[in-house]
Amino acid sequence: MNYLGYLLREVALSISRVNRWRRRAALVEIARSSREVQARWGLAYQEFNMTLADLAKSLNAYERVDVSAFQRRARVLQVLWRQEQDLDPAERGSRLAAPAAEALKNFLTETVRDVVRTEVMDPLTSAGSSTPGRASSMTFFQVSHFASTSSASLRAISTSHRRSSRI
Amino acid sequence: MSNARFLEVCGIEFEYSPGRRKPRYLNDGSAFDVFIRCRNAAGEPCFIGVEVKYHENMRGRAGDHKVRYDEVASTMGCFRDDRLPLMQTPLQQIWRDHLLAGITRVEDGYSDSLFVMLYPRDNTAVQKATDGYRQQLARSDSFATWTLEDFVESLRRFSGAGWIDDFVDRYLAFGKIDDRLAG
Repeated sequence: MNYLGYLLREVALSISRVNRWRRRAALVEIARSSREVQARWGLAYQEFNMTLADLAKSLNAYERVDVSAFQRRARVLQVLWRQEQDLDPAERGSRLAAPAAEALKNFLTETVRDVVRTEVMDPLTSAGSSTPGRASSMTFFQVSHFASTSSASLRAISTSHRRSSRI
Repeated sequence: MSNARFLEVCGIEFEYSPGRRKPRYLNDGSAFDVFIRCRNAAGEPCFIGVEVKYHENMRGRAGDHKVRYDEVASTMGCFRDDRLPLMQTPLQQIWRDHLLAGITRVEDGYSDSLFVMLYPRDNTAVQKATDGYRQQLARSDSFATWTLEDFVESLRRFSGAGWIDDFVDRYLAFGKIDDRLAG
């Protein structure tokens, strides 16, 4: 091998070593933060044909109790809504952290929150439309249930519109 | 949504039962998610009882059967003779709410009533359950199914309130997920 060939070989090996070092450094960087790992995996998922389960996992919203695609989509949609509202998650991505839940951020409007405070959370005024047990479960729901509920949905639909209208 | 069967809304209650665990009604804890007091064209008192489903899969265990359910079912007279499927999952929970609507109409003197199952169009579990429920009915004029999507479209015909869009964005904007999946 002439000198030029030797030089080219050394340059190629050096580049290879640098690339290996860079890859190793990148892996260390990834491992430094689980949040970053998740983000990078999330990015990787998007580069391929992501499944609904993949998306749910990337959002920390993969729950075995979701036995249908619709249930999984419903939960994922609540995570996306929570993120868009800039609300912190609880231990699961689809649940609100306690401060946001206790502030009734789960409900869509201030009108709905007022109704919940007076008709559900207040044990005196809730007696007419909800049993005390129901009131308690609703309070629990605020803290830990994933950010959607059927009756909460209807509250959102109806409470601010008590005026007469054709059905 | 009711083809002008009900015209004027007089009031809306949430988690409403006319009498939980009272023998004159169902003698259990059944309640409507939403109870809409209204009037018909003749000005007579009517109501719509609504059960809302969102992500439910209708697989919950059926509750204990009560003799009172059979009594109310006979009073309503809208069910087929073989009521065994109505006592089982997934139909029993629909049946109990429908029975509550029936006995509320009788006991509280309403001229007309409708029990509505309201759910998202894509929740096929609820759709199948309601389809199965209809097959148990000899008369279906006291039972209806509305999708949330159709309900929202009706609301938009009468109101431009911002909360309607907020509601859709939160509960029905499944296109956001499709966009994510498409990358």
